[in-house]
Amino acid sequence: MWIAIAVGVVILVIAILLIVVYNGLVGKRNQVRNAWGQIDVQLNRRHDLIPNLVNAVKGYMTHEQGILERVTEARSQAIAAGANVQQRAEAENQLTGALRSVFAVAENYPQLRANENMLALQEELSSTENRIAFARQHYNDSVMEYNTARETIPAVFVAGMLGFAQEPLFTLDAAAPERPVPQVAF
Amino acid sequence: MICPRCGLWNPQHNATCESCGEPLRAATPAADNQPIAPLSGAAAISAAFPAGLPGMAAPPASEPDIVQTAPSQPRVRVDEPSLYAPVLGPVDRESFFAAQRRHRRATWRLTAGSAVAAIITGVPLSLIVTPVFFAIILILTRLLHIVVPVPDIIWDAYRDTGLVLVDVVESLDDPATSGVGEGDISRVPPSLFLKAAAIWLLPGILLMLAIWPVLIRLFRHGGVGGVLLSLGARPPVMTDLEERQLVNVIEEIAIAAGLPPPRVMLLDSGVANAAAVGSSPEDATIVVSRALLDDLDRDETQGVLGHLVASIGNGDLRAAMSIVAIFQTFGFASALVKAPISGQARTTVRRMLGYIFNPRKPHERAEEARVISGMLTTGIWDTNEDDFDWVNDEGQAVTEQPGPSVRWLMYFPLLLIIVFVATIVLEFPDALRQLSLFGVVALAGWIVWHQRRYVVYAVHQGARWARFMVMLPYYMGAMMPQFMLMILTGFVLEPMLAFLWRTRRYLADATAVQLTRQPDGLARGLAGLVERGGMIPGGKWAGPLFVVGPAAATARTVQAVHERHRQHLDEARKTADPTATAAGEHGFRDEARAYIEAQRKMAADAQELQRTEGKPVEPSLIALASAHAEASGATQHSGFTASGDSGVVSFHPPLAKRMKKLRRLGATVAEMNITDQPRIQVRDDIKVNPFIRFLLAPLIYGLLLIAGILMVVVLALMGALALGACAILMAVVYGLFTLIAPS
Repeated sequence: MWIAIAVGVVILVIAILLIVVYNGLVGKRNQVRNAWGQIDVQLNRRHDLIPNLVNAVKGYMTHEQGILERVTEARSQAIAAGANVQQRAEAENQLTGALRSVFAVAENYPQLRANENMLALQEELSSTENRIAFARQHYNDSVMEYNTARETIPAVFVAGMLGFAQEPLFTLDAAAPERPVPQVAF
Repeated sequence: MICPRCGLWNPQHNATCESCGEPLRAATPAADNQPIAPLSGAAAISAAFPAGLPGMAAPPASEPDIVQTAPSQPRVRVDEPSLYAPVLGPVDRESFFAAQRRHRRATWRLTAGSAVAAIITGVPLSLIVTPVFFAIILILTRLLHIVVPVPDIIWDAYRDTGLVLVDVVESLDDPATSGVGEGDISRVPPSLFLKAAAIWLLPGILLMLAIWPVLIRLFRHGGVGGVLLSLGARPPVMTDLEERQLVNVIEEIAIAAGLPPPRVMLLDSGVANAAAVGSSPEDATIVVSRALLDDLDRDETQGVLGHLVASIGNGDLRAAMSIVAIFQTFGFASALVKAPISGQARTTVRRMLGYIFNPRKPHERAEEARVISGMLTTGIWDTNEDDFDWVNDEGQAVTEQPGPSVRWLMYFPLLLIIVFVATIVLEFPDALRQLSLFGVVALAGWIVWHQRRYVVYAVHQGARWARFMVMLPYYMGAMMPQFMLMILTGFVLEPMLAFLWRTRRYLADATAVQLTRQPDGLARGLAGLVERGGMIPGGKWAGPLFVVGPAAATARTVQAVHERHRQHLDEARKTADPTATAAGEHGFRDEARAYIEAQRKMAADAQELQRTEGKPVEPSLIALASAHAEASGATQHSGFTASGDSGVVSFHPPLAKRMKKLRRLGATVAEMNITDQPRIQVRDDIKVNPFIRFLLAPLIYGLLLIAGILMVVVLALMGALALGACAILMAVVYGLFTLIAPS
């Protein structure tokens, strides 16, 4: 009788622990996925801002049409790459470089520097760069939190069984082909 | 002293050269001839650790390049230590993840401590709540008895409960335990003691534990700090580049924290500060004063706002709501207890009930919530039982009238009885007796006629007297717990909650470093706010929600005022006695004259400030300047009221501690001479002999110890009195009940 009760209590405790661990891991994994999605959201935001930028500077920078073309081209390449992580990453890197050179060249045009629209655009674009950086940072923090939770006691005993795989960190060579593309719907 | 730039000789006390303005430094043998080369990194390390870094082998002597790099550096003169000069990092570096874990653990400990403090603070109120609770239960059971007969065992239990004091008293004289401490409390059996304690304490504590979550829910509507939004907050203007940048910065950090971007509101205040208000991460607003945008650069703004976003993400808004609700719970319980004897408390309870049951428009409801929560929180400190105030200044309008006062009517029933008894004792004939009694009544009638204009007032006054007499025992019983509540709130609960809140600030600082990865930005931002910002006028009630405390501005003001006073004093000393070179070397009379002169100048400064108030002037500066004129008072209040939070412990951690923790997280700001802790030493130029100080110290600490013990004794006495009042009230309740409804 007492033994049965004791066994029942132990089973109950284990079951509750399991539920808590499982729910915790699910929550953290979803946070990781959401953070991954957030990076894309911010990259798209940059794409949306670029036509405005090109329109704003087109009239002034008549001699540097080449730079503007590079920006537009990198943007369309990035959009075309879609879910292809490697191509996408390359295109986004090119876009970052092209944008930098636009603002570097814009320094030579006093009218452009004083233009309020231009200043606002510059602020928006640098803010977007910050957002992308922060979104990546948040993704990495979330991954670290998830992986730590997954690999520490008590979750380590059950994480494998319950199908919680390790998530990869976002690194500079994220474009490496062996990186698995997370199955994310957004 | 000879100027190093132009070679002109300057008087010793000059800070800058009279000819070219070059700053002059006191001559030290080493620094005067030889400019100091800055230490290169390796040299600095070897200077700090002559034996090499711990755990690191000493650099091999065969590597001469370390030594040779130093002379090749341009020789730069080391000036006054700059405010933000980089320093070597601390030895106890800590990652922001570790720091957050540590602070989170501390938060749990302090939460537990606060819970204990809250229960202790609730004890006195529970004592007075219990009899009321008991009376309600008795009446309800009696009503139930009409429908379904209640078994006797329950009535017996009620009897035991109501007369538990009698049991306690009887056990003092129990013959079975004779010999063990005659008449001592130790003769009461522990089980009875526990029972009595449970009966007297549990109902009230349980009631308050039940009220607390209800109040959190009830006032969740506006969240905390809604008061700030009523100070004229406006949404940011997106065409203004700086405000747009602010919104961007906040949204960026929200992404780093994985939070929905909080709303942003701006206050057009001249004082730089920022606060997070709202009820949850999903419903949070960051209030920023416009001056912050002008005062801080982008990195600093990012650090400061990172602190706020981190605070939102760590659930500080919910914590703040819980803390406010604790005070509201005590305020509400206190209002309930005071309701029979205080009109103010009745108003609070009535508005509270109206707020709960009356549907209103949302904005009206938010406004009402703000007013009520203010009434509840301040109600704790309110001992103004206005029903009884008139006892002290009763009927002035009547007593000032010529002729007999209506007040005399009070004594006429007594007079009537005396006359009646007298006529019987003296065996008056019936006619004469009737005449005497009629005379008394006629006299009363004459007074009433004479004061007929006040007869309504007199009736009113009579009713008040009657109520006073009925409520007097309750008044006596309710007062002790009320005073105990005030003392416990001020000295136990509030400091505990303040420490909890401070730990949450450190936690938010560490999280902000995780979000921005820029400990320097946050450190510089905080220092900048303490240096140039302060409390936004009108934001006192939401003080703890701000990034830096209201103490900052006050401390800065106090320091500024003190500094100015010292300048005036030095000038006045020079004029009073031109031959004196250093402070304290001249006569007592001159010193006194100098003080008077300095105070006169301070008053003039205050007037000047008042006159030119068109430009942003510290509003407290004028008040403080006049307070400083009464120089003796300033020292007594420096650590207390000057803190701005007006509690024993400020809800804001001192800047120095925050900086220390940020340095451990990698901030490279140097020790700063900015402080938010006011330190006024009115006569700091007088040196106390160390020997005398050594002799005086035990005396002072002894006195402090005695004061502390006395306070504990007073609290214990008050507790015993409250306990007695509660026990007697319980017995009275039970007695009254048996009188009305014998079962």
